[in-house]
Amino acid sequence: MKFPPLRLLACALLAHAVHAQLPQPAGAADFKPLGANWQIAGGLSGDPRHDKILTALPGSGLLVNNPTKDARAHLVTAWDHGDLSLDLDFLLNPGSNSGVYLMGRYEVQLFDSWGVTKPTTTDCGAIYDRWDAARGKGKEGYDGTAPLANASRAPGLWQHLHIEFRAPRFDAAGKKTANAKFLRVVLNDFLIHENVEISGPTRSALFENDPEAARGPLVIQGDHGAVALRQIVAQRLDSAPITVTDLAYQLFTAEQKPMLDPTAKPSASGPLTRFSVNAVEKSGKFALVITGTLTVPAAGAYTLTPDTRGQARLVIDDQVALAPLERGAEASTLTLTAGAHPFRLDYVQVGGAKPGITLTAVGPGLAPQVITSPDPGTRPPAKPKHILIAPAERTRLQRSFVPYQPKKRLYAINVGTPAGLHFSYDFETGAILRVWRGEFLDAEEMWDGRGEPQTARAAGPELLLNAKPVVALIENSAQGWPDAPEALWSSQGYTLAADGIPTFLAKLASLDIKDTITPGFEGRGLTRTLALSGRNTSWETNILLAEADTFTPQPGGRGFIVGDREYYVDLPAGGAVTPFVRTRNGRQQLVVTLTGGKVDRSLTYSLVW
Amino acid sequence: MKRPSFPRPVLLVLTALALPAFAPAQTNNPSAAERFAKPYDALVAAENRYWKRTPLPVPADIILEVSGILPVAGQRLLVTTRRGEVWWIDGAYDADPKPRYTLFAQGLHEPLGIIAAPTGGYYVAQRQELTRLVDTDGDGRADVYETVAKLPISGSYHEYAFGPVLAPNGNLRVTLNVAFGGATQSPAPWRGWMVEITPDGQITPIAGGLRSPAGFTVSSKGDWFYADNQGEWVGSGKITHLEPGDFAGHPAGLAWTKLYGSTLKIRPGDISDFEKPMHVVAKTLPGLKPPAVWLPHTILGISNSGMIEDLTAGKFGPFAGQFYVGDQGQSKIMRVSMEQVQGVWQGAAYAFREGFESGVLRIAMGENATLFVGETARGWGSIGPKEQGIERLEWTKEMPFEIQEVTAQPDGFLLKFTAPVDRATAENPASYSVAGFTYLYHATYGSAPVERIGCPVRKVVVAPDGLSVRLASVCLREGYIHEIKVNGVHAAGSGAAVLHPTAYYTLNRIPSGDRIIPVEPKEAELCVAPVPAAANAHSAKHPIKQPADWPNNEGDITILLGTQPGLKFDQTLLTVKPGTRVRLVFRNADDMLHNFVLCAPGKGQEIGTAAMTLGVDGMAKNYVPESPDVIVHTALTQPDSSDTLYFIAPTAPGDYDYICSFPGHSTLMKGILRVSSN
Repeated sequence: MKFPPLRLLACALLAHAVHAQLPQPAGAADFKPLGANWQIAGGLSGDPRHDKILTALPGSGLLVNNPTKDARAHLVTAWDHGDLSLDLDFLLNPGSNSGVYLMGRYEVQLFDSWGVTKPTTTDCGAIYDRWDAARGKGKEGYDGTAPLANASRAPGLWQHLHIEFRAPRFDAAGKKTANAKFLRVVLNDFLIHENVEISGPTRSALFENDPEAARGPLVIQGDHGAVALRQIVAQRLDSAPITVTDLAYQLFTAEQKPMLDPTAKPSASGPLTRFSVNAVEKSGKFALVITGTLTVPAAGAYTLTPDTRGQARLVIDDQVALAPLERGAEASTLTLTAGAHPFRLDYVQVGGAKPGITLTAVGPGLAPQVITSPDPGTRPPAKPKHILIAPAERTRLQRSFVPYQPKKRLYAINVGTPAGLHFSYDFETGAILRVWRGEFLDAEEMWDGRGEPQTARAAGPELLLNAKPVVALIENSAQGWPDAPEALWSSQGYTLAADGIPTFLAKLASLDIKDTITPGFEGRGLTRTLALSGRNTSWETNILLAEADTFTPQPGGRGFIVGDREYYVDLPAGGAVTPFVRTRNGRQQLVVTLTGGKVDRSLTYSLVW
Repeated sequence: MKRPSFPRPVLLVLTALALPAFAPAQTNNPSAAERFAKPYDALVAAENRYWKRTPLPVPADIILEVSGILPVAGQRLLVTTRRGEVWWIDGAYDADPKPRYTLFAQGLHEPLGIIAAPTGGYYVAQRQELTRLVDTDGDGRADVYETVAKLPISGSYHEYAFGPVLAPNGNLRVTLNVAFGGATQSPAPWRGWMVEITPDGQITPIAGGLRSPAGFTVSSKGDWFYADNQGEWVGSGKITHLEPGDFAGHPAGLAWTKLYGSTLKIRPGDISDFEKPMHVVAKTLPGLKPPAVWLPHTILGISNSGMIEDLTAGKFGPFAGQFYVGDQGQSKIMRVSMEQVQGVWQGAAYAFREGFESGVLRIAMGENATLFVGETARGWGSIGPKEQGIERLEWTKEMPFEIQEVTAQPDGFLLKFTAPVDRATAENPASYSVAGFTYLYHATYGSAPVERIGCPVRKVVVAPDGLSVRLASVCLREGYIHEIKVNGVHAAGSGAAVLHPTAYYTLNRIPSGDRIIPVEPKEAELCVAPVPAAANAHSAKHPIKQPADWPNNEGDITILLGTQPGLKFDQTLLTVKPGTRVRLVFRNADDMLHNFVLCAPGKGQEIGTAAMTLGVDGMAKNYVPESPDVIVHTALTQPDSSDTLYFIAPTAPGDYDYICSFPGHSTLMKGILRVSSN
C-alpha cells in the first residue's frame, strides 16, 4: 500500500471536514486540547520498529503519542458524530496498544499483532469485547468480534484503517431501536469486518458506563502504548436522507426522442408510484421522462452516480447532473441549496439489456444513498464463491495467472507455506510479485465454471511489490532499471526440497541463478537466497533487492526501510551483502552489483512487512 | 418451419417404394425415426453388453477433472487434472476396483496431457509451458519441474495447450487452441497451430488453421491426425491429416505466417467468408487441407476430445488399427476407420459407445486392452451428468453385430461386418440407404448440413463368406460426406440388427478400378441437390415478424432473456398473463450455440430428448423437433447475437417449460414461463 505524501501544515486543518464535499484531513481545531503525551510532529526518527518510544521530528502532519505514568490522555475530537466514514494512517511500535473509539464507545483495537496467526478480539482490527464482571471469571468479555484475518503490518510501518460506521438508533422515547454497527472495516486494503453489530460500549471506553447515545466524540486511545497518526479523514454522515416526491412519467417511443424534441407527444403519462423506469408498463425500445421533486437536507455539493445500460440525462433545477452518453451517463457535481428542487430524468432504452437505472447520491454528510426505488423481485447479488487452497504439512505451489496492474502476469506461480507466509513469483523476471500472510489462495476464478480469468487471488492481506527483473544487465550506469523481462533471461523451472520449498532456476546469459525463498523471522517475513554462478556478463550485472521512491537505512546496518515505511529489507549480520542505493529517473533501487569475471556468489536478504 | 414433414409410416413406405426407381432425395432420411425407435437408454444397455463400463471410485476430497491419462507398466495410471494435480492410481484394473490415489505432482496450470519422457520423468503441457516432471529421489513425488519450452499466450482462458505427443523423431508435438472471441483469436504466436518442440525447447511450427485441437495422435505408421471442434470456420467436428505446411481452415493463426519458421504458404488475405464447402474452396486454395473424416455435429459428438489408435491387435474388439475419438459434450466415444486413396486420407466415422458419466476428455489404452476414460464437464456441461470422473471400458469378448469397416469403391462402398450377414436381408437393396451432404466453410459458428442428396443404391453383392457387402450407388460426390445406413441388414443366424447401423464416409477421392454397375448416362441430371429450406424464416412456430396490429407495434410486454455460461438462461422464471402479446428477445451471450423453445407444461425434457435424435437434419431445424408440444421457438442463435419472437401467451394458466433444445443442453438449460391470471 502506498500512502499519499504528507502535506499537512500543522497537523493543520479544518473543522469543515465534516461539511466539505471532498473529505479533508482533520486539523488541530478538530480536537480538544491535546494531553501532554500527544505532540504534533513532522516525522519520526529513531527506530520505531524496535524502540519503546516514538521519537518525533519537528514539523507538522503527524500526531505522536508517548504515554507516561502521568500523561496518558486520550485524543478526543471537539465534535460529536453519529454515522461516520473514517480513514487514518497509524504506526505502532513493538507491543503497542491503542484503539479508535467510535462515539467514544465502540472500539476498533489498534495493537501490535504482527505475526499473530489466529487473531482474537484483542488483536489489531478487532471490535473489542464488552465487559461484565457479573458474567463470572473468565467470561467477563463478550460481544467482541475478531477480525476476519490478521491484516497487521510489522511495528514501525504505516498502516491504513478505513471504517464505515453506523450509530445506534433511538426512538422518540429514547429507547434504542438498533445497535451500533460497523458496516465495513478495512485494514491495509483487506476487509476485516462487514456488518458487525455491537450491543453496547466496549471495555475501557471513555463512556463505557454512560448510556448509549445518538452521538459522541471520536476518541483515539492514548493511555496504553505509543502510536503515531496521520491523514485522519473523518466524514460525518448524519445528514437526513434525500427525499423524492411528486413523481410523474411520460412514455414515448424511442424514435420520438423527447430528450431532443420538446414537442414530442407521449403515448402515455401519469403519476408514478415509485422512482423506477420499471414502474411504467411498456415494452421494447422506449423513451421515458420522469419528473419529480428532490429535497436535499443541506446546502452543498451533490453527485448522483448512475448505474444503467440505458441512456440517461438528469436535470436538477436547470443544472445538468447527468449528461447522456451513448450508453449510460456522465455525472457532474452540482451545488444545491437546502430544500426542494424540481428534476427531470430522461431515460432511453438502448440495446437488449434489461431496462433500469440506479442513482446513488453522495453529498455533505450524506452516506451513499440510493435514491431510486428497487424493482420487486430483484435478486440480491450472489455471494462470492471461494475455492480455497491451503498448504498442509508441505509447502504448496499453484501456477495461475496472477492479478497485477496493469496486466495480469501469465508466467507466474503462487507459493504457500505451512508457516502461513505466501508469495507469488514471476518466472519471466524473477520478481516476487506479492507477499502475504494468512490464508493461502482462492482459485475460484480458475476452477469454478469455465474459469475465464484463470487468476488466483491471495486469500489473505497482500503487499504488492514491483515486477521488475531481479537481475538486470545495464549497459551504462545512467540507465534506469528495465521494466520488461531481460531478453537473455530464461526460466528453467524449479526443484522442490523435501518440505516442498521450491528453488527457482533461471539462466541469464552465461549466469546460472538459483533462487530460494523461505519463511523467516519466526514466520513473519520471507528470506531470499539468490545464488549466481558462471561467467559474468560484459555489461554491468545488477541485482535488485527493492525499488521505491526512497530508502532509509535501518540502524546498525541491519538493512533498509523501503519507501514511506512500507516494508523492510533486512540484511544478515556481518555485512556479507552491502547493497547501495541507486537513483535513476526519480526512482531508487536497492542494488548489489556483481563484480568479477567468474562468479560464484550467494546473496541473502529478507522481506519483512 | 417450412420443411415438409411426413408422418413416420408414410416416410418409410415412400422410401421403400421409391428405391427401385429414383429415391426422392430430400426425404431419404429416416434417421430421426430410427433413433426414436431405439431410445438412448436401450442403446446404452445394448452397448454395455459388448463394452462394459466400470467407473473407478474417487475419494470425495479429490476433484478428478481428468485432463490426461498415462498408463504405466505395473498396472498403474498417471492422471493429470484441471486443478493441476498429477495422481498415481493403483488398483484401477481390479475386478472390483477400489483404487489408491497418491499425489505425484501438484500446482500445474491446467495440464492437458502426460507422456513418459524418453530421458526419464514425464512431459506435461501446461497452459504456458511444456514441462518435464522428474522424481529424482524415488519417493514417488516429482521434485523437478523443468521448463522445457515457454508457450506464447495472451491470458485468454481458451488458450489451451494440448499434449504433448511423442514424435517418432524424439521431439514433442503440442497443439495450441485459439483464444476466444474478441478482435483476434490468435493474440500470441502459434495460437491455432500444431508445433514441434525439441527436448531442449526449440519450437518449430508444423501446421496451422487449427481451432480447438483437443485430440491428436501419430499413427503407428507415422501419420499425424488431429480432431477439431465445431465453431467459427469449422462447420462440424472433423479429423484432419496434418503434414508440415498444411492449413486446416481456421484463419486466426495465419497472423503468424509472417514469422520466421512459418511453414504455410497461405496468408490472411487469402481468406474470405467463403460460404462454400471446404473441399470446393480447397480446389482453388492450395494448402487448405479438408478433413480426412467429418464427424457430423450432434450425431457423432459436439466437442471431440482425445484420439487414439487401436493397437491391441483385436484384444479390445474387432476394430484393430482403427481410431477412437472421445466427445466431451455428448459423453461418448466415436470410432473412425481411415484409408488412403490416391494419396489422400479419408474414411468413415461410426458411433461406438455412449453413456459415460461425464464429459469424455481423454482416452488411453492400458494393459490387457483396458481402455481408460477420463472425464470432466469443465463448466460447459455434458450429457453425462457428473462433473468429473474416470472409468474403465473393456470388451466383454462377445462379438457385436456391427459395420466393421467401410472402404471406398469406384461405384460405392465395401462394407465389412463383424459377423456374417443374413443373406436375404443383406441382398435386398432396400436394406440400405445412402445420401451425401457437406458443411459450409465460413466465419459463422458451425454450419447446417448442405447440398444433401440421396444416392440410390443400384446393386448389392454379398461376399460368399457373408462378412462383406459391396454396395453400388449413383450420385456419389468427391469431397462429400456419405451417410450409409444398413438398417435392414440382419445377422445370419441370430437375426440381430446392426448395433450402430450408420456410417459417415468422407469421400475425398473416388478410387479407380472395377465397377459393378455401369456409369449411368444421365447421372449428372439426377444428382442435383435441392434448394435448402430457410430454417430461420418466419413461421407459425418461429414468429419473427412484428404483427402490424399490435399496440405500439410491439405487444403488451417485452421479455429480454439471455444466457449465462455453464448452460443457463439468465432468468428461470418468466411470468405473463394469459393471452398477453409477448415480444421476446432472446440474446445468446454465451460462446456456443443456443435456442429458446417454449413447450407445453411438463414437456420440456421430452422435447429436449427428441431434439437429440434429429440427426444431421437437426441444425437445419434449429434442433426443434416436430411436435404439437412445441409452442414457439427461436432460431439456433449464434454467440453474441439475438432472435426476437412475437407471440401470444397461452390462454390456459400453467407453468410452461422453456429449454435450449441444442442436443445435450436441455437438462441444465431450462426455465418456466408462468401463465398466471393473478
